Amino acid sequence: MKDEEIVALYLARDENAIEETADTYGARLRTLAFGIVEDRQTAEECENDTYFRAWNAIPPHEPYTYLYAFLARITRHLSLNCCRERHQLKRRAFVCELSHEMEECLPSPDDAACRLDQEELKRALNTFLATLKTEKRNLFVRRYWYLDSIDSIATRYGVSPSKVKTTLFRVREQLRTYLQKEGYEL
Amino acid sequence: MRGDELLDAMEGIDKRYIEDAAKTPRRKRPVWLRVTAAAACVCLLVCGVWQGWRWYAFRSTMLEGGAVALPQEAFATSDTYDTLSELLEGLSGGEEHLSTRGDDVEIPVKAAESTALTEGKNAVVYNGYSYHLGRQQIIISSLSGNTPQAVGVIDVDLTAVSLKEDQHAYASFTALFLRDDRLIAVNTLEIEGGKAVDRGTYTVVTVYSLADPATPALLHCFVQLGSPTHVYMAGDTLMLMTADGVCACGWSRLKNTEDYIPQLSVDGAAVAWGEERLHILGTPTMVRYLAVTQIDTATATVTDHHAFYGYVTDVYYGADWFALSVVEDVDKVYTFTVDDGIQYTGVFAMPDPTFARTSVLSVAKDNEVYRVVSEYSTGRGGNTKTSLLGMTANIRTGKSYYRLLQLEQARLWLLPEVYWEEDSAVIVVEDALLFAEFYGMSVRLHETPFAAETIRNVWGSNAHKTLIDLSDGQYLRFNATTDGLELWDLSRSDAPVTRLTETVLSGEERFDFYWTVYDKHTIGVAVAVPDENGKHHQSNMLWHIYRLDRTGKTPFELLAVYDLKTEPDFAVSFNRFASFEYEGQHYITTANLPVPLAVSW
Repeated sequence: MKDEEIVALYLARDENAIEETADTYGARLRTLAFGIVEDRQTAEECENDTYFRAWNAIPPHEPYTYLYAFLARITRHLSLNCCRERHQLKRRAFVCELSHEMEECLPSPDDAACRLDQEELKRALNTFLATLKTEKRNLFVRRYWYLDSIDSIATRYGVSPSKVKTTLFRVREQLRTYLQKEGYEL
Repeated sequence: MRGDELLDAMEGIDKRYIEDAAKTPRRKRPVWLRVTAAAACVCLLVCGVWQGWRWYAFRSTMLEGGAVALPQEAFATSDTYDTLSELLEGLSGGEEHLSTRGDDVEIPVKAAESTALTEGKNAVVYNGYSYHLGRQQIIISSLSGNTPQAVGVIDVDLTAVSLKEDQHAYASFTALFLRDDRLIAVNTLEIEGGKAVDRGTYTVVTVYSLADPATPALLHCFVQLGSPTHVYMAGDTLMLMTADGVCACGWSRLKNTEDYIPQLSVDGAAVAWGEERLHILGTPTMVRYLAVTQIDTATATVTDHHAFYGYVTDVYYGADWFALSVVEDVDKVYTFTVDDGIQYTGVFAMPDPTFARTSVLSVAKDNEVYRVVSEYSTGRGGNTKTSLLGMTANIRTGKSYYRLLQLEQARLWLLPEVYWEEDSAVIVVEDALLFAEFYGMSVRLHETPFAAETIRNVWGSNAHKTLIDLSDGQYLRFNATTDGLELWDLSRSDAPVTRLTETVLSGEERFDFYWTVYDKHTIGVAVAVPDENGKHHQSNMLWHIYRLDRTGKTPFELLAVYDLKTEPDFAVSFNRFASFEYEGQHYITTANLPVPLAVSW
């Protein structure tokens, strides 16, 4: 079933919407969740919670043309929260590693008083990502949105792990420069 | 933490970027490969049009398979945990709980055909003496003279493992090997009683000298903690594989880290398992491991031993290799060679994980190419679509390819039987016969309308192999009611044929799934006989010998009948069944028979 038809089911409050969503995107959402929480049962819980939240979010949202991104965003959010709440050391280690990498993009030292304006930051990120070539942007998104490992990104795009690391390093440097210019330095 | 905030802010990126990154990328091939491929096609067309076309046709329609990772360093397998200590730390907050040691850890094995392998047997013969597995003994019989004579027994040793005061042990022999003048026996030892964490199953390998065949002398004893996954031999080398699991969750963490490490002793002396021998595969959510030990039975030494922690679901092996199927976010197969110690040779992943679920059915190996047949499913519930996946993975070049065959009727998950022939796999499932033919890195799959019904024996079990291999692509198979036999000609995978169908037994007699192929025309098969009330007892069994005449009026001529009836209340007459030949005389043994039964026709 096409995205438009599935969204129409949500809007019509037809419960088949959940089943159709699961059929179309369940495996992908589960894989995304598993990549973060690395526990099958938790990944399935995140998947099911995603459907629940999607049911409550559509309407008012009407993601006719971007249903997967809409769902995946929910799943990612739930999975990261799950990971943090359950204090899974191994996954925290990985999330910490990613957080450290992202900190390299920030021009200022860590300071609890300096809270970034999330909405402004999102806008800045989108503007920055628009400046990147597709290949580099995809690598960046796979790493920091999908939370893929270096090796799996390398395999996916048929490049060496060192190329992935180098590309990500350079993009992070560019992001840092960009955020500096946009006034995120304190 | 501000890095976290940035990570969270990533959540709000434009949906187009999320969708773009979700698409499976099209990988560029290096220029040299494209040029080489074109030149190869031309050469093949010149050298042999039919072979070249066939190769090209297969190759061009196959899909690029899952990632193949070659070993960068010894056993670099997990990107999450480097050591057992890290795994234990990572599981400390986990909730998956095993109530006792070894719970739920059973790993099936599937062997590819190889004449260089020696599988364990229920009976072996040496120098005029037979040794066959009884209930808890090895029964020694003399075969000289007209009638086998009982000579003695070897009792299973219940003291191979020290027991605590409130514990007791149960043991049973599971396999015998014969190597030169040495008898090698495998038995399990189950420890019960006492605390849950002190219970467990051990696998014991004992080596006896047959210098005096009537009284085997114990030479060596190897004891490894864990249920036996499999034991087999290649030459003098015995491969001992055991599986165990230990709870590592937050509630019942054991104090001593050594409780999570395999245990192995040789003649009472413990063998160390250093960190370098413990390998984490994938991202396990509990401690369950497969311990693999190589034993040189000639010198009674352990030549290598390693333990693999992870969700190992199956073990596949040949004479000089084994592979472990591991469930991860993408199912993977880890490969090893064993001819120079246990050497890790790489791992390959099942393809297209984002959209599908895979379940490996079997793995075989041809030189450096692994051949895989697997179930491949997409969708959920009533919309599930099942396909047969045939895949090749070359651990030398790092390439893998696969092909899918969507199935209309077949249900692969219902106990598929896989039979490997030289370059193909025959997969028998409910309602269908599937073929996977391998040619280099290519594979061709097809489903035939050749229906194979599920067959259950008279006691309702369908856990047996049902095809009797007569060689040259000819197989006998039981009919659905198990009172008859069919002859299948599978020599042409595109045109399998049933040559014969015959109801062989009369009344309520039924075949059971024990057989021996004496030659291409003579087979022996177990038969269950009902009592006067029509009930079948496992203690009332016969052995029928048939001649197969494919062109005659009586395709299955009954040549001889032997009655194995034992005590009325004793079950499972064909437990530990074996069939062997000595100096032109055929024998069969079971756990119930005090001496081998000579059969002739």
